[in-house]
Amino acid sequence: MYRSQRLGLKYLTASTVMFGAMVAFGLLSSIYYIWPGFLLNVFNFNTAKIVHIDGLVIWLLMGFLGAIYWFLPQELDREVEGIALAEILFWVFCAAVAVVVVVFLFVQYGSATEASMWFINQGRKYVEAPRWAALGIVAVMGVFAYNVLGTTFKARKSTGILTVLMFDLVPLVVLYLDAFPEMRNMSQDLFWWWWLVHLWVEATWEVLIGCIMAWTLIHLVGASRRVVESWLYVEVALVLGTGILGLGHHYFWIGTPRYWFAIGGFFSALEPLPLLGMVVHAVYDAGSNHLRAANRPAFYWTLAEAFGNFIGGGVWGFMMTLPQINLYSHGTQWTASHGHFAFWGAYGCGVIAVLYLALEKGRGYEGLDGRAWKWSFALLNTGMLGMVGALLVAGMDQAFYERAIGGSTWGAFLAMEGRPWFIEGMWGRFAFGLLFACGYAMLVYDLLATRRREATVSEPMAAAGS
Amino acid sequence: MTPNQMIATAVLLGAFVIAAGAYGLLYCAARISDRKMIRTGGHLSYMGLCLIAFALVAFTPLHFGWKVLVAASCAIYLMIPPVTWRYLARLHREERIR
Repeated sequence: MYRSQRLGLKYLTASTVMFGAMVAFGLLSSIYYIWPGFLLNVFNFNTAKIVHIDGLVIWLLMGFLGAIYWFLPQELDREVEGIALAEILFWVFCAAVAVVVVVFLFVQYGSATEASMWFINQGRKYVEAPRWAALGIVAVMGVFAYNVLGTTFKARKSTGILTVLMFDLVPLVVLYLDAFPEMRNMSQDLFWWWWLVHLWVEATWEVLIGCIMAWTLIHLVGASRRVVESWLYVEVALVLGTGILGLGHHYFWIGTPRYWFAIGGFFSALEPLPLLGMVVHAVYDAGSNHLRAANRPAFYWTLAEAFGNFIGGGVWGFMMTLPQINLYSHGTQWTASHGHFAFWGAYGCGVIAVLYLALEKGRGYEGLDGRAWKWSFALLNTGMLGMVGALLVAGMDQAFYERAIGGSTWGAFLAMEGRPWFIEGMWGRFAFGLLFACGYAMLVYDLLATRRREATVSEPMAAAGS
Repeated sequence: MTPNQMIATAVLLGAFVIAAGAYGLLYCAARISDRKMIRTGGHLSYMGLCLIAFALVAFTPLHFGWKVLVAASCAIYLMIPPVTWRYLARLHREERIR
């Protein structure tokens, strides 16, 4: 195994740990909606939520890095350039994440000074990490870009997937720099902040996961490289074509000019189209393989990725993307429902698929099939469906009573907290969140059990060899 | 737009994409299995998509431009599964020949 692949496994392990932290803090955050006085003056709701959503970004980012460090040396038949630096930065990354979480947990917030921004919290959603840690992320991404570009240039060859990945590295690194500027005008600040949040998620990450899933298909079902690459180009063109200006759906209510209603609504409405193409592709591949693959967990998680992306991103997104509906739905639990479903479908399932793929190839263990992965698959997906269903009911109730009837007043907001459907929605989210957490526990159990099984299998083989 | 219209429109928009997905899924399943029932299911899903599009255009207070977009999307959704399928099949065929 290449050193880079060992690093990939470390990233995937760290990503799984962050997944657990995200689930734990998500559950914690959901309790505040049921008992608003929970941990009053001890641990703020907003801090729990910060760790939850930043944990989401970090677990996926680590998963992507792990997947690419895993596939890259296989792609070029050589060790990754600058791997020693990448290994050092992995530990720096993990240490920085740990320190930031400790600061969030125990310091939580500071006064409105430069020092707070540098050492406690930058104060912008999704990129709350203090400035020193944000600089660390830039360093990690810079070294990652160097690893990919350096290895490709050193190998003096490239593939279609790698070419797409190399182009994607530019916005991946550059857009993150949007985490730094200080703007006092809130409209301007949000305008650029969405470039980071939306364009990372609905453009750069989509391309990144496209490359990862292309490699996954090649390794998982032996898909032809030419077919996968041709399809990747089409998908990337469509996703970028609709996703970049789909950014406009975040510009409806932040003080930008009116033309963003038309641009945002139009391109957002087109976003489900390439997702339907992906469903067709998934069914085509699944049908060609008669729903069989040597690595069944990875195969089923790959299918879940295609369908989850379509339903979570396409269906849930289209429900609320046109300005006339979005006027009432934005910022409610309805949005949270869409966010949970889309992130899970588009990225979460893909990272888990790679995890199983790396586990199989990395440990030389072919028989991953068992009952535990099926339980984790069922619990995680049922938990997610239940959560997004409950949030949708609560969010629609909110849009109806608090926004449309109540006129978004403070009184309407407070009255909303006592509405039966909203309360039941919050309970439903908590209950299904617990189910999701059980699925996560089962996933970890399966990953650890696979390690044990692999050790048991390899012992007699080693004895036979000696 | 009244609160009831807002919820009804949003549900119809969601159902519109679900129907498109069902049509795409059943179209592909029918191509793989060649079962008449599945093919009929695909046709029914597309009919459902058209009905939902009609409801969105005729009964909801969406602005004219969005209604045109919904109608156009309805036509485009009809083509996506067969066009994508043909493209994938051609790619695979060419690959086998190579």
